[in-house]
Amino acid sequence: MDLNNNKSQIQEQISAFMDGECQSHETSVALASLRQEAYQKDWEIYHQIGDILKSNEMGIRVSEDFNSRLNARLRTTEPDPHKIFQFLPKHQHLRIVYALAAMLTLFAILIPRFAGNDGAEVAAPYLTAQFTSANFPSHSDATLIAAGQKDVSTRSDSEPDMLRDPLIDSYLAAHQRYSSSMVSAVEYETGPIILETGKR
Amino acid sequence: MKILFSILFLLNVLVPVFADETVGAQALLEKIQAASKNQSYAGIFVLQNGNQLSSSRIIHSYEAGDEQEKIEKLDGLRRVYVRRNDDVISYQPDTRILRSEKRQSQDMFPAVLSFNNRSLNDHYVFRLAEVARVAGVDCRMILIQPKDTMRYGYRLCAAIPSNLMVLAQTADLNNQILEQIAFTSLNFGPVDSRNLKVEYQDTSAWKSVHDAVAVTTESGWTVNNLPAGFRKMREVRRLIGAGAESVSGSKPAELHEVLQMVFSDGLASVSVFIEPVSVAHRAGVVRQGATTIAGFQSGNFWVTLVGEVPVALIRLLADSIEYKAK
Repeated sequence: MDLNNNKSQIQEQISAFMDGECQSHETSVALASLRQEAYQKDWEIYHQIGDILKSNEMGIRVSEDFNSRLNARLRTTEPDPHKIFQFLPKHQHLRIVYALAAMLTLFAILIPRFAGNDGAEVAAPYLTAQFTSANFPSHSDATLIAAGQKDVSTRSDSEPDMLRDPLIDSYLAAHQRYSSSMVSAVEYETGPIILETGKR
Repeated sequence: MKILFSILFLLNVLVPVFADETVGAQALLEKIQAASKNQSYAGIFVLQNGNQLSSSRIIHSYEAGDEQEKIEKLDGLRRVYVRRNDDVISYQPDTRILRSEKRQSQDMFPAVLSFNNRSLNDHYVFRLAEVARVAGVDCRMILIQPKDTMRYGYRLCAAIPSNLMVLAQTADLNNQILEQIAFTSLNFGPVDSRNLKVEYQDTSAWKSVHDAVAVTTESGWTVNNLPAGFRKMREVRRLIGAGAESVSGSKPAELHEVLQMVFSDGLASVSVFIEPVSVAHRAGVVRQGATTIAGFQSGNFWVTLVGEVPVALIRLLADSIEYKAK
């Protein structure tokens, strides 16, 4: 019981640390906890939730008739519950109903955030990127990766994003070399180099 | 009439207060920048960028105008950086690589010293806020709020009375923290010079690397639609590719030359890289913490933008990159 309470408290501190609301002693606890694998997963989950719910500045668009098409599709589709449920144990059915209800509720909350008053094309985070520039990544070739969605090293080969581009690290390091960013103040990583093997 | 007088009275009282706060905040920023150089301290700081978290130990010494610093990464691959004034040596024991180079960016964050304060005032609102406590140290919070959607906001905390920056946060327009650096332990005072030395004494068998950058003044490439307050800080030709470390562990691409232009408003920076299409790239936009990276092809050239700025600014710059024949 105490262990559960303690875990819950640490999770709250990790969440508060992520939001920049930690007191200093809580920060120390959160940092120590993040060295444990279980809490690292919490850290990633909090980020994913935060990314989905809070970010609305990314320049991504859904088509203006997205809502109407979605509603029409929902109206016309006649799902056969037996086909969905037949391979599941009986007690799983209720869980799926709850999960679907939760998803629909989430849609109901999120869609108005993305929908403009005039019905024009509006921004929606973490779908497919589209930019005004003709040359900029289009629907087909650009995928926006939310901060913290996945670690670079854990991505599968089939995921089309530029994180797999090995040059990304080089550009990032080259930028930090000259930028006045706070990271540059404490990182001396540099990218563009010429290798010389042997004695200096 | 009473209400009108009340409003006028409040304006008379409050406007000078806010003006004083702004002046005070900017003066404090300048003290922060100086404080990171001209005093001795040792501590551990944590850098959070998106969901990436890393910690490092820093030992900084300042004695008779001589600045020495050692930063040791405590997570992931072992990395040790030793700096004496502008000379930086990086030790990578796993690959046995030793890098010796000159520190290029004199404008450590916040880079207010090289900027006209009046210009920063046009684009950010500076406020002195409450006294907070970070790593057991009392500090004065400074809020820097952008006036448009092309920049992020910042929250800095300067230790009292040393003015060393003990906390720095970058936040988006929704006040969501995107990136932060915070000390978790900090001690002021003279440091033992033995702690500034590295354990790798014999590096004769290590590979030595050096930077390959050539300053250029006018390549013909321009960014026409820079937001107010941003200006070009540098334009260099450099090598990208082989030898560069890869976080993902993937195979480094071939070494090739790129043009790099760096733009900054004093707090935020963006680099624009331009190169002929010669190696395989993937178009897309990535955001990691406060850093946005975008890559796309324009004619026969590949353009990459990297900056601690919102996607809106990256898009604006990308739309206005042009080549003007000399």
